[in-house]
Amino acid sequence: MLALLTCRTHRLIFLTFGTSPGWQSEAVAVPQSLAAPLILDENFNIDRKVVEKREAWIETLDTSAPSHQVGLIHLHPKVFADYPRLDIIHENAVWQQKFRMVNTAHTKLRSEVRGGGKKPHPQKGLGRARHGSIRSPLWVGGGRAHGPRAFTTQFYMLPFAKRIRGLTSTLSAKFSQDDLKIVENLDLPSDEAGYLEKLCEERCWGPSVLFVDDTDLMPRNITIATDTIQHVNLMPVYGLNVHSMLKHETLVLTVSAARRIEERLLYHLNRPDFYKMNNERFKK
Amino acid sequence: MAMRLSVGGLRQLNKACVRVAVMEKGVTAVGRGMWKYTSRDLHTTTATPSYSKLPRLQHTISESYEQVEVSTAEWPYVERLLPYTTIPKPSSNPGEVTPSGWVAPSAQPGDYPYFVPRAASHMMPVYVEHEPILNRFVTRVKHVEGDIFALGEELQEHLTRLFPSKYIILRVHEPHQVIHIKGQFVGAVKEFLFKKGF
Repeated sequence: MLALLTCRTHRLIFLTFGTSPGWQSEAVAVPQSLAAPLILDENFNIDRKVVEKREAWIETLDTSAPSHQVGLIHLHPKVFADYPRLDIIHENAVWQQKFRMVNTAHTKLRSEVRGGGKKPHPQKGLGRARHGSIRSPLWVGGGRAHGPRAFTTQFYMLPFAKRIRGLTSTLSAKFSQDDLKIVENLDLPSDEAGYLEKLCEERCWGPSVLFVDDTDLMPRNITIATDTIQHVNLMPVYGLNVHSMLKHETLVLTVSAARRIEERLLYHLNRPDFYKMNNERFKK
Repeated sequence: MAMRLSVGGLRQLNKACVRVAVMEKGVTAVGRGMWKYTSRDLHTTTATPSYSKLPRLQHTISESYEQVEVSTAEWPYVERLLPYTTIPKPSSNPGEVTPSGWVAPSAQPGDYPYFVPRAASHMMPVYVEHEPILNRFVTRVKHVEGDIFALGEELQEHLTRLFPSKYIILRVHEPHQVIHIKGQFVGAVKEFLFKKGF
């Protein structure tokens, strides 16, 4: 059973296994005051699995709070404790750079090289090899028959399963290396860049931090604070990618972002037409 | 008619047929090749008004459509036609053999030093890959968790016992959690794992 915290009073449960799998709404009592700890212990339906579910602290970005840990969250092992496939992570990172590349290397064809319209010497009688043009590929200074042509796209799509595995492997690697932090929300008490820098310094969050939230409209204070800092970035859930996760030292997810990522990745891993997604050629 | 179908005969026959076919209401034959139309028109007239006389910008909604009733009682009939979004979990006891031949898993993590969970489709993760070269087959046992080397050794022993004439070439690939066996041994490997309860 997966829960997506949509608002403070209701949550949508995605039943992965059951007679009628799908979404159901359920009222949940969420503590209104921050003083009570936010325990989000999910009972994942992971029977017959060697790997246990992972537990993580829910932190707050408010330094005036008594403790920067305000709760506990259980994370699905298939997403955050997957066996990290380093080769697939590498393939994903390389793909992200290469697929948008346009090769501008260019050579001229025999028709494009200046000159070479006239037959250099008669066909017979001279004892020389027969030629039709001084710019054929055989000649020095001639055109190139099968050379690179400008604006050749290097576009290709990595198989769907590899892209999914890349995300789960990177998230698992980040989590196991203590570089993944779960945060209640992205509300800052101040909009100064110094506040955020000091916070990251105190908590030993790496020089580069990536904040991921469920929505793409971020709170005012954090948007202003991170605007001037180049190595601290904000990202919505749909922008999550392997390259960005590797580029930034610390990955900070909000609770709703973590749940959204889980729900989306588990949906794809358990869908009946997964192999159709895999074999389907990328349609432009 | 017992008539010799010459060209002249056909022409006569045609004329006779034509004459018969054209004899419609309102048309009388007057002489040879002359037709006279009576006051009654050949096309039939209906009761519908002409296009210009149709009511314009006047919409009348019948009373039965004014009250709309919202009903969700028929939703189950729609829901059961929708495709599954997730692969449903089969409801069966551990170790049960279903009529189709599907065996429910019964082993638990901890029974053996290794563990082979079922794939998302609840089937045994043993596959055979055939490269487009005559005899190049590779059997793969995927998703092996725990001590994969122990399972590799057991499989080697088991297959060598089953196929004494063959030299079993087996490779354990720990970073990918997979065992490769050269040749086609899907049935034997699956049976071995089913007996273990995976």
